Amino acid sequence: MLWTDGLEDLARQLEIHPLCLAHKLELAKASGERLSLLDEAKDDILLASVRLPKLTGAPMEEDFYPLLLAEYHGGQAAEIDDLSDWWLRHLRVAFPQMSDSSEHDVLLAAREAVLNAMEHGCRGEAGLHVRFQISCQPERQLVRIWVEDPGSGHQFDFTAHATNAAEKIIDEHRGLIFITNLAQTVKFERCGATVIMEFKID
Amino acid sequence: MKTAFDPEQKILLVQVPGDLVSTNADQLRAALATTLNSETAPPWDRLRLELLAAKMVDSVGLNLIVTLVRVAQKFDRKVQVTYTNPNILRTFQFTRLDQHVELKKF
Repeated sequence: MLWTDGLEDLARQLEIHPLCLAHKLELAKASGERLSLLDEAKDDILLASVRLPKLTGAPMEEDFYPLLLAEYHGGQAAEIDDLSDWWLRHLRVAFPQMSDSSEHDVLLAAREAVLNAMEHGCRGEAGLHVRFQISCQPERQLVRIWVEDPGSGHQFDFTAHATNAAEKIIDEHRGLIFITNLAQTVKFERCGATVIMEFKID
Repeated sequence: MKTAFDPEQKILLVQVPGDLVSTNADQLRAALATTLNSETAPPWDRLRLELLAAKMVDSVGLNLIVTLVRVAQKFDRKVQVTYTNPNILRTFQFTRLDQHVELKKF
Protein backbone atom coordinates (compact mmCIF):
# COMPACT_ATOMS: atom_id res chain seq x y z
CA MET A 1 0.00 0.00 0.00
CA LEU A 2 1.16 3.52 -0.76
CA TRP A 3 -0.43 6.72 0.49
CA THR A 4 0.05 10.47 0.59
CA ASP A 5 0.72 12.54 3.67
CA GLY A 6 -2.97 13.51 3.87
CA LEU A 7 -3.70 9.97 5.09
CA GLU A 8 -0.99 10.18 7.74
CA ASP A 9 -2.34 13.53 8.93
CA LEU A 10 -5.85 12.12 9.30
CA ALA A 11 -4.55 8.97 11.06
CA ARG A 12 -2.72 11.23 13.50
CA GLN A 13 -5.93 13.20 14.11
CA LEU A 14 -7.83 9.96 14.74
CA GLU A 15 -4.99 8.57 16.88
CA ILE A 16 -4.67 5.38 14.88
CA HIS A 17 -1.89 3.80 12.83
CA PRO A 18 -1.92 4.83 9.12
CA LEU A 19 -2.17 1.16 8.12
CA CYS A 20 -5.46 0.85 9.97
CA LEU A 21 -6.90 3.88 8.21
CA ALA A 22 -5.58 2.74 4.82
CA HIS A 23 -7.21 -0.63 5.29
CA LYS A 24 -10.50 1.01 6.31
CA LEU A 25 -10.46 3.25 3.21
CA GLU A 26 -9.71 0.34 0.94
CA LEU A 27 -12.64 -1.67 2.30
CA ALA A 28 -14.95 1.34 2.10
CA LYS A 29 -13.96 1.93 -1.52
CA ALA A 30 -14.68 -1.70 -2.38
CA SER A 31 -18.09 -1.69 -0.70
CA GLY A 32 -19.13 1.83 -1.70
CA GLU A 33 -19.48 2.84 1.93
CA ARG A 34 -19.27 6.55 2.71
CA LEU A 35 -16.93 7.13 5.64
CA SER A 36 -17.85 10.01 7.92
CA LEU A 37 -14.33 10.03 9.34
CA LEU A 38 -13.15 11.45 6.00
CA ASP A 39 -15.07 14.65 6.80
CA GLU A 40 -12.31 15.44 9.28
CA ALA A 41 -9.55 15.24 6.65
CA LYS A 42 -7.75 18.53 6.13
CA ASP A 43 -5.81 17.44 3.05
CA ASP A 44 -6.36 15.32 -0.07
CA ILE A 45 -5.73 11.61 0.36
CA LEU A 46 -4.42 9.30 -2.33
CA LEU A 47 -4.19 5.62 -1.54
CA ALA A 48 -2.86 2.98 -3.94
CA SER A 49 -2.70 -0.72 -3.20
CA VAL A 50 -1.37 -3.60 -5.24
CA ARG A 51 -2.29 -7.23 -4.66
CA LEU A 52 -0.13 -9.98 -6.03
CA PRO A 53 -2.04 -12.95 -7.45
CA LYS A 54 -1.78 -16.21 -5.56
CA LEU A 55 0.40 -18.78 -7.27
CA THR A 56 -1.37 -22.06 -7.90
CA GLY A 57 -0.33 -24.68 -5.38
CA ALA A 58 1.88 -22.34 -3.38
CA PRO A 59 1.13 -22.20 0.36
CA MET A 60 0.04 -18.68 1.18
CA GLU A 61 -1.25 -16.96 4.23
CA GLU A 62 -4.91 -16.09 4.17
CA ASP A 63 -5.48 -12.42 3.49
CA PHE A 64 -4.79 -10.80 6.82
CA TYR A 65 -4.46 -7.03 6.63
CA PRO A 66 -2.15 -5.35 9.12
CA LEU A 67 -3.90 -2.74 11.28
CA LEU A 68 -1.07 -1.87 13.62
CA LEU A 69 2.64 -2.56 13.80
CA ALA A 70 4.44 -1.49 16.94
CA GLU A 71 7.49 -2.10 19.09
CA TYR A 72 7.51 -1.74 22.85
CA HIS A 73 10.51 -1.89 25.14
CA GLY A 74 10.72 -4.11 28.18
CA GLY A 75 10.24 -1.26 30.62
CA GLN A 76 6.80 -0.24 29.40
CA ALA A 77 4.64 -2.56 31.50
CA ALA A 78 3.25 0.36 33.51
CA GLU A 79 1.92 1.86 30.26
CA ILE A 80 -0.18 -1.17 29.38
CA ASP A 81 -3.53 0.61 29.98
CA ASP A 82 -2.61 3.31 27.43
CA LEU A 83 -1.34 0.71 24.97
CA SER A 84 -4.54 -1.22 25.39
CA ASP A 85 -6.63 1.90 24.65
CA TRP A 86 -4.53 2.47 21.53
CA TRP A 87 -5.14 -1.10 20.31
CA LEU A 88 -8.85 -0.73 20.99
CA ARG A 89 -9.08 2.33 18.73
CA HIS A 90 -7.75 0.24 15.83
CA LEU A 91 -10.08 -2.66 16.52
CA ARG A 92 -13.09 -0.33 16.62
CA VAL A 93 -12.17 1.22 13.29
CA ALA A 94 -11.84 -2.21 11.68
CA PHE A 95 -14.86 -3.75 13.43
CA PRO A 96 -17.26 -0.97 14.49
CA GLN A 97 -19.92 -3.50 15.56
CA MET A 98 -17.56 -5.58 17.71
CA SER A 99 -19.28 -7.01 20.82
CA ASP A 100 -18.16 -6.29 24.37
CA SER A 101 -17.06 -9.87 24.84
CA SER A 102 -14.92 -9.89 21.67
CA GLU A 103 -13.36 -6.59 22.68
CA HIS A 104 -12.66 -7.94 26.16
CA ASP A 105 -11.13 -11.18 24.92
CA VAL A 106 -8.81 -9.63 22.32
CA LEU A 107 -7.58 -6.87 24.63
CA LEU A 108 -7.11 -9.07 27.66
CA ALA A 109 -5.22 -11.78 25.77
CA ALA A 110 -3.07 -9.15 24.03
CA ARG A 111 -2.28 -7.51 27.37
CA GLU A 112 -1.27 -10.83 28.88
CA ALA A 113 0.95 -11.73 25.94
CA VAL A 114 2.66 -8.32 25.80
CA LEU A 115 3.19 -8.12 29.57
CA ASN A 116 4.59 -11.63 29.54
CA ALA A 117 6.96 -10.70 26.71
CA MET A 118 8.08 -7.52 28.50
CA GLU A 119 8.62 -9.26 31.81
CA HIS A 120 10.17 -12.53 30.71
CA GLY A 121 11.37 -12.11 27.11
CA CYS A 122 12.81 -8.64 27.73
CA ARG A 123 13.48 -9.11 31.46
CA GLY A 124 11.95 -5.67 31.97
CA GLU A 125 14.91 -4.02 30.24
CA ALA A 126 14.39 -0.86 28.20
CA GLY A 127 17.06 -1.98 25.73
CA LEU A 128 15.09 -5.05 24.63
CA HIS A 129 11.94 -4.88 22.53
CA VAL A 130 8.64 -6.66 21.99
CA ARG A 131 7.30 -6.66 18.43
CA PHE A 132 3.54 -6.42 18.22
CA GLN A 133 1.09 -6.62 15.35
CA ILE A 134 -2.69 -6.54 15.00
CA SER A 135 -4.09 -7.75 11.70
CA CYS A 136 -7.53 -8.75 10.53
CA GLN A 137 -9.32 -10.86 7.98
CA PRO A 138 -12.58 -8.93 7.49
CA GLU A 139 -14.48 -11.49 5.39
CA ARG A 140 -14.18 -14.09 8.14
CA GLN A 141 -14.36 -11.57 11.00
CA LEU A 142 -10.96 -12.65 12.32
CA VAL A 143 -8.40 -10.70 14.30
CA ARG A 144 -4.84 -11.92 14.67
CA ILE A 145 -2.50 -10.70 17.39
CA TRP A 146 1.18 -11.47 16.96
CA VAL A 147 3.64 -10.88 19.81
CA GLU A 148 7.34 -11.65 19.64
CA ASP A 149 10.06 -11.07 22.20
CA PRO A 150 13.83 -11.49 21.88
CA GLY A 151 14.06 -14.17 24.59
CA SER A 152 14.57 -17.87 24.08
CA GLY A 153 11.22 -18.88 25.59
CA HIS A 154 11.02 -21.91 27.84
CA GLN A 155 9.59 -25.40 27.87
CA PHE A 156 6.38 -25.57 29.84
CA ASP A 157 3.87 -28.31 30.66
CA PHE A 158 0.79 -26.18 30.19
CA THR A 159 -1.85 -28.83 30.95
CA ALA A 160 -0.26 -29.82 34.25
CA HIS A 161 0.13 -26.20 35.18
CA ALA A 162 -3.50 -25.28 34.40
CA THR A 163 -4.73 -28.16 36.58
CA ASN A 164 -2.36 -27.21 39.38
CA ALA A 165 -3.38 -23.54 39.19
CA ALA A 166 -7.05 -24.45 39.50
CA GLU A 167 -6.82 -27.09 42.21
CA LYS A 168 -4.12 -25.66 44.43
CA ILE A 169 -4.90 -22.03 43.65
CA ILE A 170 -1.27 -21.17 42.96
CA ASP A 171 -0.64 -17.60 41.90
CA GLU A 172 1.77 -17.84 39.00
CA HIS A 173 1.61 -18.01 35.21
CA ARG A 174 -2.14 -17.51 34.85
CA GLY A 175 -1.34 -15.31 31.86
CA LEU A 176 -0.96 -18.42 29.70
CA ILE A 177 -4.29 -19.76 30.94
CA PHE A 178 -5.90 -16.49 29.90
CA ILE A 179 -4.33 -16.56 26.44
CA THR A 180 -5.31 -20.12 25.65
CA ASN A 181 -8.88 -19.67 26.87
CA LEU A 182 -9.63 -16.28 25.34
CA ALA A 183 -8.34 -16.87 21.81
CA GLN A 184 -9.96 -19.26 19.33
CA THR A 185 -6.57 -20.51 18.23
CA VAL A 186 -3.11 -19.97 19.69
CA LYS A 187 0.20 -20.90 18.19
CA PHE A 188 3.43 -20.77 20.16
CA GLU A 189 6.74 -20.66 18.31
CA ARG A 190 10.33 -20.57 19.61
CA CYS A 191 9.22 -22.15 22.92
CA GLY A 192 6.67 -19.40 23.49
CA ALA A 193 8.84 -16.40 22.58
CA THR A 194 6.45 -15.86 19.66
CA VAL A 195 2.71 -16.04 20.29
CA ILE A 196 0.12 -15.86 17.51
CA MET A 197 -3.51 -15.64 18.61
CA GLU A 198 -6.62 -15.53 16.47
CA PHE A 199 -10.06 -14.37 17.54
CA LYS A 200 -13.42 -14.69 15.87
CA ILE A 201 -15.10 -11.31 16.22
CA ASP A 202 -18.82 -11.13 16.83
CA MET B 1 -10.46 1.36 47.07
CA LYS B 2 -13.02 1.69 49.86
CA THR B 3 -13.62 -0.69 52.72
CA ALA B 4 -16.48 -1.02 55.18
CA PHE B 5 -17.44 -3.52 57.85
CA ASP B 6 -20.90 -4.85 58.63
CA PRO B 7 -20.61 -5.96 62.29
CA GLU B 8 -23.98 -7.76 62.31
CA GLN B 9 -23.22 -10.05 59.38
CA LYS B 10 -19.47 -9.85 59.92
CA ILE B 11 -18.92 -8.93 56.29
CA LEU B 12 -15.85 -6.97 55.30
CA LEU B 13 -16.69 -5.06 52.15
CA VAL B 14 -13.91 -4.10 49.75
CA GLN B 15 -14.98 -1.89 46.84
CA VAL B 16 -12.73 -1.77 43.79
CA PRO B 17 -13.45 1.38 41.76
CA GLY B 18 -12.82 -0.09 38.28
CA ASP B 19 -10.87 -2.89 36.63
CA LEU B 20 -8.63 -5.13 38.70
CA VAL B 21 -5.50 -5.31 36.55
CA SER B 22 -1.70 -5.22 36.62
CA THR B 23 -1.56 -1.43 36.84
CA ASN B 24 -3.54 -1.16 40.08
CA ALA B 25 -3.28 -4.60 41.70
CA ASP B 26 -0.12 -3.80 43.68
CA GLN B 27 -1.66 -0.67 45.12
CA LEU B 28 -4.78 -2.63 46.10
CA ARG B 29 -2.64 -5.42 47.53
CA ALA B 30 -0.82 -2.96 49.78
CA ALA B 31 -4.08 -1.35 50.93
CA LEU B 32 -5.62 -4.75 51.63
CA ALA B 33 -2.58 -5.90 53.58
CA THR B 34 -3.21 -3.01 55.97
CA THR B 35 -6.95 -3.71 56.12
CA LEU B 36 -6.46 -7.43 56.73
CA ASN B 37 -3.71 -7.02 59.29
CA SER B 38 -4.61 -9.71 61.79
CA GLU B 39 -4.11 -7.45 64.79
CA THR B 40 -6.26 -4.55 63.63
CA ALA B 41 -8.73 -6.14 61.21
CA PRO B 42 -12.40 -6.31 62.23
CA PRO B 43 -13.70 -9.82 63.07
CA TRP B 44 -14.95 -10.69 59.57
CA ASP B 45 -16.38 -14.05 58.51
CA ARG B 46 -16.85 -13.11 54.89
CA LEU B 47 -14.88 -10.80 52.64
CA ARG B 48 -17.04 -9.31 49.89
CA LEU B 49 -14.97 -7.99 46.99
CA GLU B 50 -17.14 -5.61 44.99
CA LEU B 51 -16.18 -5.55 41.31
CA LEU B 52 -19.35 -3.81 40.17
CA ALA B 53 -17.48 -1.24 38.06
CA ALA B 54 -15.01 -3.74 36.61
CA LYS B 55 -15.02 -4.76 32.96
CA MET B 56 -11.80 -6.70 33.21
CA VAL B 57 -9.77 -8.75 35.68
CA ASP B 58 -6.37 -9.80 34.34
CA SER B 59 -3.96 -12.45 35.61
CA VAL B 60 -2.30 -10.09 38.10
CA GLY B 61 -5.68 -9.02 39.44
CA LEU B 62 -6.71 -12.64 39.70
CA ASN B 63 -3.54 -13.45 41.64
CA LEU B 64 -4.57 -10.83 44.17
CA ILE B 65 -7.93 -12.57 44.57
CA VAL B 66 -6.08 -15.87 44.99
CA THR B 67 -4.14 -14.28 47.83
CA LEU B 68 -7.41 -13.20 49.47
CA VAL B 69 -8.83 -16.70 49.10
CA ARG B 70 -5.76 -18.15 50.79
CA VAL B 71 -6.02 -15.73 53.68
CA ALA B 72 -9.71 -16.54 54.07
CA GLN B 73 -9.17 -20.30 53.88
CA LYS B 74 -6.44 -20.11 56.50
CA PHE B 75 -9.00 -18.80 58.99
CA ASP B 76 -11.89 -20.88 57.63
CA ARG B 77 -13.62 -17.83 56.18
CA LYS B 78 -15.22 -17.09 52.81
CA VAL B 79 -14.60 -14.74 49.90
CA GLN B 80 -17.52 -13.46 47.86
CA VAL B 81 -17.13 -11.54 44.60
CA THR B 82 -19.92 -9.34 43.28
CA TYR B 83 -19.93 -8.24 39.64
CA THR B 84 -22.14 -6.90 36.88
CA ASN B 85 -20.15 -7.57 33.70
CA PRO B 86 -20.50 -11.14 32.36
CA ASN B 87 -16.86 -11.11 31.21
CA ILE B 88 -15.84 -11.11 34.88
CA LEU B 89 -17.78 -14.32 35.44
CA ARG B 90 -16.17 -15.94 32.38
CA THR B 91 -12.72 -15.10 33.73
CA PHE B 92 -13.47 -16.84 37.02
CA GLN B 93 -14.92 -19.82 35.20
CA PHE B 94 -12.12 -20.56 32.76
CA THR B 95 -9.50 -20.17 35.49
CA ARG B 96 -11.73 -22.35 37.71
CA LEU B 97 -11.45 -19.85 40.52
CA ASP B 98 -15.25 -19.97 40.65
CA GLN B 99 -14.75 -23.16 42.68
CA HIS B 100 -13.06 -21.19 45.45
CA VAL B 101 -15.11 -17.99 45.68
CA GLU B 102 -18.80 -17.29 45.84
CA LEU B 103 -19.85 -15.25 42.79
CA LYS B 104 -22.89 -13.02 42.86
CA LYS B 105 -24.21 -11.01 39.91
CA PHE B 106 -25.84 -7.61 40.43
